[in-house]
Amino acid sequence: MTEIKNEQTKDLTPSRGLIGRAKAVDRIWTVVFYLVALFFLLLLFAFAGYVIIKGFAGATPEMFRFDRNGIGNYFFNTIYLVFLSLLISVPIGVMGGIYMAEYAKDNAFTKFLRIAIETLSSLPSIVVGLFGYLIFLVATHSQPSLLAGSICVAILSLPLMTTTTEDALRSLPPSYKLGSLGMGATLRQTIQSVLIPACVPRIITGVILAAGRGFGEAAALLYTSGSDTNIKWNPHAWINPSLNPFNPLRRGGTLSLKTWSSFTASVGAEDVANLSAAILMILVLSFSLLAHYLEGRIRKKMGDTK
Amino acid sequence: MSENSKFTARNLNLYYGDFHALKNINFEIEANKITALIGPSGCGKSTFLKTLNRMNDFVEGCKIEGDVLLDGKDIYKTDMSAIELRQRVGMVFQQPNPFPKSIYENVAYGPRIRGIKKKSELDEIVETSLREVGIWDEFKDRLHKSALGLSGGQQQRLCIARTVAVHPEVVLMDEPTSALDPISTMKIEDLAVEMKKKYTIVIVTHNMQQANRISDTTAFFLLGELIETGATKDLFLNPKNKKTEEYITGRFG
Amino acid sequence: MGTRKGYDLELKEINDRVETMGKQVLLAIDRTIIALEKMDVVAANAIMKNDALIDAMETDIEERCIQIVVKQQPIASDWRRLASYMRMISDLERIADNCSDIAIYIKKLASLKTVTPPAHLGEAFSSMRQMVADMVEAFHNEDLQLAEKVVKADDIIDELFEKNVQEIRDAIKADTDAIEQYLDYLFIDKYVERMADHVTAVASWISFITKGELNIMFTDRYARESKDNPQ
Repeated sequence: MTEIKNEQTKDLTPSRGLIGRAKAVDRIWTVVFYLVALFFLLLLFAFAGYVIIKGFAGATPEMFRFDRNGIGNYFFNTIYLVFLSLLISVPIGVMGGIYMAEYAKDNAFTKFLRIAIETLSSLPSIVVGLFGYLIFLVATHSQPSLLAGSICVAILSLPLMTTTTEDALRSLPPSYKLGSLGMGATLRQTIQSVLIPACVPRIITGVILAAGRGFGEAAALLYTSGSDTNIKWNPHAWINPSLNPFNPLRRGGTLSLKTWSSFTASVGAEDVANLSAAILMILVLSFSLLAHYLEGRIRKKMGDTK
Repeated sequence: MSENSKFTARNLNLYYGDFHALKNINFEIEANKITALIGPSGCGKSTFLKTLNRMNDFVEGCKIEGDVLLDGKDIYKTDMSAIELRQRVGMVFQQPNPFPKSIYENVAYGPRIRGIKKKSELDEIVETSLREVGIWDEFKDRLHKSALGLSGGQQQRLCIARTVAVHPEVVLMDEPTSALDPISTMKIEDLAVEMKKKYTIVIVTHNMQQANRISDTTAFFLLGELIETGATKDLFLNPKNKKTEEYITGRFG
Repeated sequence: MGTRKGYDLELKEINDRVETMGKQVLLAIDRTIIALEKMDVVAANAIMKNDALIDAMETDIEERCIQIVVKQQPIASDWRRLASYMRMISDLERIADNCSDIAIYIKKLASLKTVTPPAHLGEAFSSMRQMVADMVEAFHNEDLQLAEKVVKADDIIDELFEKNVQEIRDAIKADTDAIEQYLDYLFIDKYVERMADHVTAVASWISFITKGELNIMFTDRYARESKDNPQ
């Protein structure tokens, strides 16, 4: 121990100039990173602000109505379609994730499956839309419907849900699983009662991303859900099922489709498009905030202060 | 096999792929005693512990030869399932691993997976289990708070409560205090000594003093072999094998 | 070896100091034998003064043992050694004390009229001295057989003690003027017998160190006495 000589340690001490230079470089890069972050923040605020202000500037009270002329019904359709798509993609995606993380053996089939999931996640949405059109409408001789649209959106968000769930399960401490199995629980009990509850915050994040994608989706819905909408809120009118807002088999355009169709339709409808875009923007932002709040609450309840 | 033995290992060999991890182990573990397994890292003591409740089933390429008997019944060859075995032989791990649930839910977990649903029944089990490990008074006002907010020592005692909540016969402890401070360590040790009245305890430890303090029987493993086993008071005062002596006095290697 | 170098060095140091203390005690016995033979008051004083040195050695070893126990938590043979050392040094210290006790009687006897000492006292003394010498050697070599020989020799001392008591009784009957002197010899005789008991204890600790078996082979005289005279 005592053989270590003092001179050696002295040699390793960097000179004053070297430290000064390192500090300066460090400071410069810190500033650069802050600037980049600031740029993104400004971009988001400027963009969102522009869309929202411009949207509301040209708005008239009639536009907010839940009738043929207003965009209220499109607003409802957007939420309802995303809700339907999550109803499909979340259970299947989570189960797929569980399979990939807990049951899949390390073999060629799993490898193939993984490639398939990755391919699905990079599929252009217009392709999925066309696929949906051919399968759900042409092949079954059906009319465009919310259901067909939501299935297409679900297909687009399935890989995301699967990989999110798989990653969440894989990032859990192995001790949770061992602890539960060590008590005589079966693997299914362990997954259901310990692992999945522990993954909920991460899965919620996946749901937010999936929903965000659904809100803004236009291409996949273009041929599948119909871009117009005609529903009645008076229950007496529901004798005709296509007027019932909650009937998934009816046509139903979303806000993003409305934005797109209003621009291309006629002059003067531009204001409607702008308002649709603004509402969509607010919807996405508020959903994102709500979901983050929920995630935080659940994390806190689980005691995970990270 | 002696009258009082809970576990009996006969000509036990274990392989991880090509690696011969346990070599012809013959060993009896007495009921209502604390048996300490000591030895350097990688000597096979943890592996042996895991064979007792088949936790090595989860290790790929693990192959077992020979017999491991629990109350005279072979746990690998009879119709006893690993699930049933683990209900009778509980385990406490090196890192305290409470589930990310409330204190109450952690203790109620075992009874719940065994199909107990009635709240009054679960309440009672939670209380008796927490009392049994001496943390009821500490926890009774925050049963529904998250278990992850507890200190390491508290978490480990909660894990022990969670284990005893299903009334196992044997509690295996894999270095249960290696992540804890000295005071928490002492509490766990006292608890283990208290618990042996009801349970058979097998503990793996790197802490020689701990093995000496709490165990009745000590077994020394080295390179997959059971080198020496005997009453703790004899083994630590007058080990018969030179390798045991070198290891326990810290002159190894 | 190698992993606990400092610890091993300190254990060796303590071992050497116990051996040195044993040699010092042997030296004190030699001086006592000569002083008694020559009724040398100056030598008797020197023996008593030297006792402080042996006391200091005992304290030093005791402190070292306590320190190493607290710091290193010795177990197995290390602990057997240290536990034994702590008992041994207290017995060694008592032997040294007995030398000083005898020195006091030497001074007293020197001031009185010279009488013929009990015939077997010299033999008892030299036998006991041999036990101490053997004990020191047995300790050095960790020689179990020699240690057992020391333990067995205790019986010889017991016999010689009885013979001396008989002789002293006869001498007092023959010459009542010399009661004072013979009573002093009686005490010296008893001290020699006690010293042999202490050496026996030290020798049995040697067997504990090497064999690890705790069978302290004290004199079995109490057992014998209590059997012969049932009360």
